[in-house]
Amino acid sequence: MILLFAFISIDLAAQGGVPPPPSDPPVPLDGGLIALIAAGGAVGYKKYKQRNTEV
Amino acid sequence: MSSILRSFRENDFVRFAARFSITIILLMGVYRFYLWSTAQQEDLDWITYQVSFLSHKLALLLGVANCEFNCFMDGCRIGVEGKMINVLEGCNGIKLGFVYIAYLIGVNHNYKSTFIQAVLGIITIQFFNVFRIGMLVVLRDLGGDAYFFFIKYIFGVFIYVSIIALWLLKPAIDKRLDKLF
Repeated sequence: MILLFAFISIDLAAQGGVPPPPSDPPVPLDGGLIALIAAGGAVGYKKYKQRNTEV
Repeated sequence: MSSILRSFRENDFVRFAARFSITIILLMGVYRFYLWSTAQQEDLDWITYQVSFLSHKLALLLGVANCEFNCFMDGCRIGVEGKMINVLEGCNGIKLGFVYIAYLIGVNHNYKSTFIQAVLGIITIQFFNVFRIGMLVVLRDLGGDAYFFFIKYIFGVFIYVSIIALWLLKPAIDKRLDKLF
């Protein structure tokens, strides 16, 4: 998991690139990627925890 | 030590977490390699170009007169001169699609269901993303930067919440798909 977050952080940091002119704002969508990965992990944890308690 | 490792291997959540993490790393790795290869050719990646192109078409359909569309190596600019927006690689939504697919593979109900949901999920994410960027071009043209930024973040959050909702609804979707196929 630590490796995964490190990998994603490097990936996001690498997107810095050339800053656009101030009059043309960028419309990024992947700013919350790490939060989405954490949410995926949490949904998975909830799913398997429920399954284990049902058995 | 081996019993600890065995209990980890037999733990459903650990297996899910491993599949989820490895899929993300693999997909991101392949994508980064693809970005690197397009950068070597001094070209813009196909996904960012298509998302920008379709957003431009949508903005034209929504009535933005004189809507321009220029692409460079790092992204595309869409809109009326002086009121353009930048669609960079980070705006194309494909990484969100990768995380969505990684969850499906992590859970791995069955291959057919995973494949159908992955394709439909990617199409849905890109549909909302094109709609988001097209609407932002319209809002930028109409004026009012505060409203533009408000919508920019609201639409983004909507896509994130939709992905989480699809994950939570996955068992119900699996049941429907199992009946269909």
